[in-house]
Formats: sequence, C-alpha cells, structure tokens
Amino acid sequence: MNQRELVERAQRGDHDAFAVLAGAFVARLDGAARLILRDRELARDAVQEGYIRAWRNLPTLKDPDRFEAWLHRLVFRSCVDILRRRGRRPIEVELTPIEGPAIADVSTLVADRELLDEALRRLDPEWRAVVVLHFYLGMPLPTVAATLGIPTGTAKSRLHRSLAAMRLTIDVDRDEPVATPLRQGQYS
Amino acid sequence: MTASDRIQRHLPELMADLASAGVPDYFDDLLQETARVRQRPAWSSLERWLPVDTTLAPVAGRARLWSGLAILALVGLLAAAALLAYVGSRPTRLPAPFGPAGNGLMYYSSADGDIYSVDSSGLAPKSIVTGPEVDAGPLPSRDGRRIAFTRKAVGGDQVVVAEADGSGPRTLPGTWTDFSEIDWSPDSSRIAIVSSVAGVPSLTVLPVNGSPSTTLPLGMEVHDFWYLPDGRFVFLGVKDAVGATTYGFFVTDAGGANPRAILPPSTVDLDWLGMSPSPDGRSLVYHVWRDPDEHGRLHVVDIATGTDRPLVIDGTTVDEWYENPQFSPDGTHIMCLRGGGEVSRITVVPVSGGPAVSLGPVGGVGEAAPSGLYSPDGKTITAYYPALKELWLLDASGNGNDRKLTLPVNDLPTWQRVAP
Repeated sequence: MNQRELVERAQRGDHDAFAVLAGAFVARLDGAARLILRDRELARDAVQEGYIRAWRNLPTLKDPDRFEAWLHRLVFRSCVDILRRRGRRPIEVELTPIEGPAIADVSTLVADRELLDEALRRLDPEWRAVVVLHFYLGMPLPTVAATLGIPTGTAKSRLHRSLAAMRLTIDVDRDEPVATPLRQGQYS
Repeated sequence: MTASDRIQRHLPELMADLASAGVPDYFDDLLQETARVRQRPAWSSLERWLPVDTTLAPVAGRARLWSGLAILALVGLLAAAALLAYVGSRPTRLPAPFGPAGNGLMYYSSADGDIYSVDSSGLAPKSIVTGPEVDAGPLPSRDGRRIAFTRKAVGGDQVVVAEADGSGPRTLPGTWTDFSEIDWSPDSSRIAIVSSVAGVPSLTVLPVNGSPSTTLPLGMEVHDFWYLPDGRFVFLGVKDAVGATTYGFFVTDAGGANPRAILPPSTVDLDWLGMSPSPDGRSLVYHVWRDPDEHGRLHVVDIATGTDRPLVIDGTTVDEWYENPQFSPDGTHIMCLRGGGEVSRITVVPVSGGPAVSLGPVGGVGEAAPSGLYSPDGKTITAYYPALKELWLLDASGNGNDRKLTLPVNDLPTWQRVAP
C-alpha cells in the first residue's frame, strides 16, 4: 500500500494506517525537534502535539500527497509554539552518544560534533530551527519558510546569520568559557 | 582548513550524528494518545467553504461572429491602423513615473532563459531576447521605453538593458553576487540593485549609460529597497553591532548620505516585513509578525513623521494573517495576501482599512502562496499561483471578471507603463 492510500484510509478513521504513517516519520521528526528545542521532554511534547493535531485534522487535508509536508509543519509549528510559551529561555545542553559515525576520523568527529553542538546551542531557537530544517532534514529554504510560517527572505537571512554566528563560535570562541545565550546568535 | 570550514562542509552528517535519531521510546504512548482523540469531520474545513468552484470557472467564450459585424470590425481595424500611423509619426508621450498609467506589454522570462513580451490581453506572446544566455526577471523602466533583466555570468549575474522591444541589449559594467533586488530610478536613467559587495548585502546604483556604478556607503546591510518619486531610497537596513543585530526601515538621499530611521529599529526581524511605498512617496505599507496578537498584520507608516498605524480590516479572525502588501497605483487601496490554515487568497482593502475583498482562485501558503501585481491602470491584478502553475488576470474591483491566461510563465510577469 502506498503512502497516498494510507493517508486516505487514515482520513476515513483507520488508526492502524495512521500508525504506519506516523512510524515512517517519527524518528527524524523527533531528532529534529530535539536539535531545535535542546530538550528531550520538550521534543516529545512537540512531536506529540503535532501528531495529535495531525490525527484530529487529517480528514480536512485536501491533498493526501501533501501529508508529509503538512505533518512536518504541524510538528515544527508546535516547536515554535513551545519556544514562544517558554519565552526563549535558554535550555540545557543535551549531548547524545555517538552512534555510527558518518565521517572517517572518529576523534575529529567527536571534536567537531561538540563544537557544532555548542554553536547550535548559542543560536536563538527560532534561528536554530531554520538551520535544522535546512541541513538536517534537507528542506529547501522556501519549504523551511513555509513550514515555520515565515517569509522566504527571512528564512534566508536567518540561515545566513546563523551560519556566520556559528562560524564565530567555532573559530573564535571555542576555547573560551561558555557565554550566556541571548537573541539571534549574539553573546554576552 | 579551519574547524568551521570542516564542520560546515559536513553539517548534514554531523547534525544527523548529533540528533542520533531512532524511533523514540514514547512512540507507542503517542499512538495510544492519538487513538483516544476524535477526528474532525471533513466538512468543517474552511477550504471546503471557500468559493473555489466559482472563481475557477472558465470564462464563457464569445458567441458566433456575425458576418456584418466582421465587415464593421475590418473597417474599424483599418481606421485604427491609420490612426496608429498618424500617432506613430508624433513624439511619444511618456507616462508619469509614479501613479496610474496605461497598460502596456507584460514581460516574463521562460524556464530556458529567454525574455518574452505579451500584450495586455495575454494573447500572442513573442520572444524578444533569445540565445544561449540565461536571462531572467525583465523589469520595464518607469517611462516604459526600456527593460532591464539579469543575465547569468561566471561569478554571478550581470544587468542588461534593452529597448522595450528587446532590441539593442547592452550589458552594464559589473558582475554581481547574491543579486536579490532591482528597481528603476524615477527618471529611468539609473538602475539600483542589491547584491553582496565584500560579503555585505549592499545597494549599488548603475547608470544606464554605462558609467561606473556606485555602491552607497550606508553603513549597514540592505535587504530590500524602493526608489521614491523624489529620487530618494527607502530600504530595510540591518546593522550588526556588539550585543544585538537591529533591523529597521530607513530613508536616504540618492547618494546614500545620512540614512534616517523611519521608525525606531528593533532586534526582531519579523517587525519589518514586505515593505512597499505609496505612489506619492509619503508612506510605507508593511506587515509584522509579532507575539502575541499581531501575527500577519498590516501597518502604514508616514515616512516623514514616523507616525505608524495598524490597518484594521473588518472581520479579521485571530487565525487570519495578511502579508506582502502593495499600494494600488492611485494609492487608494492596498493589495495583499490573506491567509488562514492551509489556504490564502489575493485580497484588496481600502487604504483607510475596512472591508476586504478576496479575489481569484484559492492558493496555498508558503512556497505555494500566490503573488500579485497591480497593472499600471490599477484595474487589474496579475496573480501567479505556483502550486497550480497558473497565471490569472484578476478584476481588482472584485466584480469577478477574472481570466486565466495560458502563458508558460514561472513567475509573475511585470508591466510596461505607457501614457494613459
């Protein structure tokens, strides 16, 4: 059964079909939500909130072929809602264990992963969302913009500034004590 | 290679490693949770209640042509040809650079990089700049006599100027990276662009006569701009400073001296979206996305005084948003995109606020959202629907005389302004 048929069945109330669809996307959505929110429990809340909205509103989805993009939007809008409810307070860093390194030199990988983790942590969360959706999920910038509900130019500008701020963190501040994160990749 | 170079090169792999994605242990609980939730009936969707069928109905064709009328039409055509020959022998009248004008040709570029023109009825498109070069984004000058477009080159884009019929193309000096915005000066003697200069998004003025270009010393990044009728610029400026990046609308003279903030700048990029000046150059319309209750709301600000007012639109619900506003050529109305849920429509509202009128087909949101442009006479709005790949001429009065064009466009065509 292809994805469209599964969506159509789920739209008619078949929860088993929805479970298959949900399972196909949950790992990457959970990973992306953890990268954006920097907190396992908040990521769980965002994914759960997005999935409940998806199941409840699935019969109103006009084009079943848009299910994946629609689900992404619901989950990442939940991430943004959570960030806004929390008032952008800094969240504790959560390092995850290495599983199956994708690049050859493991020691370099560990060092780079930690640098990246720190650079991401210092970004404003809504900027971090643009970086995660673009680089982790491979979304083109117009899709990132549509998913987060911001203009494409704003997504482009946020990505550009995020990368500049991350370079600064990695190349200049990497041996310095961790600064307090403020808005938009700036540091105290 | 620095650490940041190395990391940026492997960013997707490193992020995948950092995310360490697997099926989360809460997945079963999540499914139990959703199973307890009742689904919303399909009929409750807003999308089902918008007049999609009405607006998408094909325009009725003409009845049979009677032979007597055909003869009359032929006589009329001959008279028109004689009149055109007479008018053509007189000096051409030019439109005023701002405000209402007559509708001339529409210009667009094809996917394979050629420039086309088509008359205002949308019939009989004609390729006017062809060849192996990849050309895009034709923009007619304010006097309607020339067009400017971009041409792909090694290391970036070049700006090419040609006559309105595509003849005599001339490449202006310079190759520009990250080219993003372009506008003609009021007297059509200069073109201003935004591109990256030494890594900074900057405003550069290119004389059409081929003289050297000038990058304006504004001391900040420029992300959007327009010429005003008096030759000044309004622009969205971004300043990087220690501790904060600030955003704001600025006005500056033609040489870029003494840029002045129209409103106090802020550290939030979503305070400054989609600006567009009025035809008289006195005000700007823009939209904001502010927490908690200004998600997609229009504002009008007086450029001289900084007096800012929200544009109150009757019947707006909490979930509705408005964006990308644009003044009508006579300055009495504002066209924008009105959205909610997964749909959006081109909408027109009086400049003082009040009732809004939505036009044409229902579009999507984000990258599927339609874009619109007023015709020079203000009676029509060209609207492109990327998800449908359709171009429409919408009746700006809202009377429903909308028409779909069958042109192979990839984006919104631009209009030539001619004397009314």
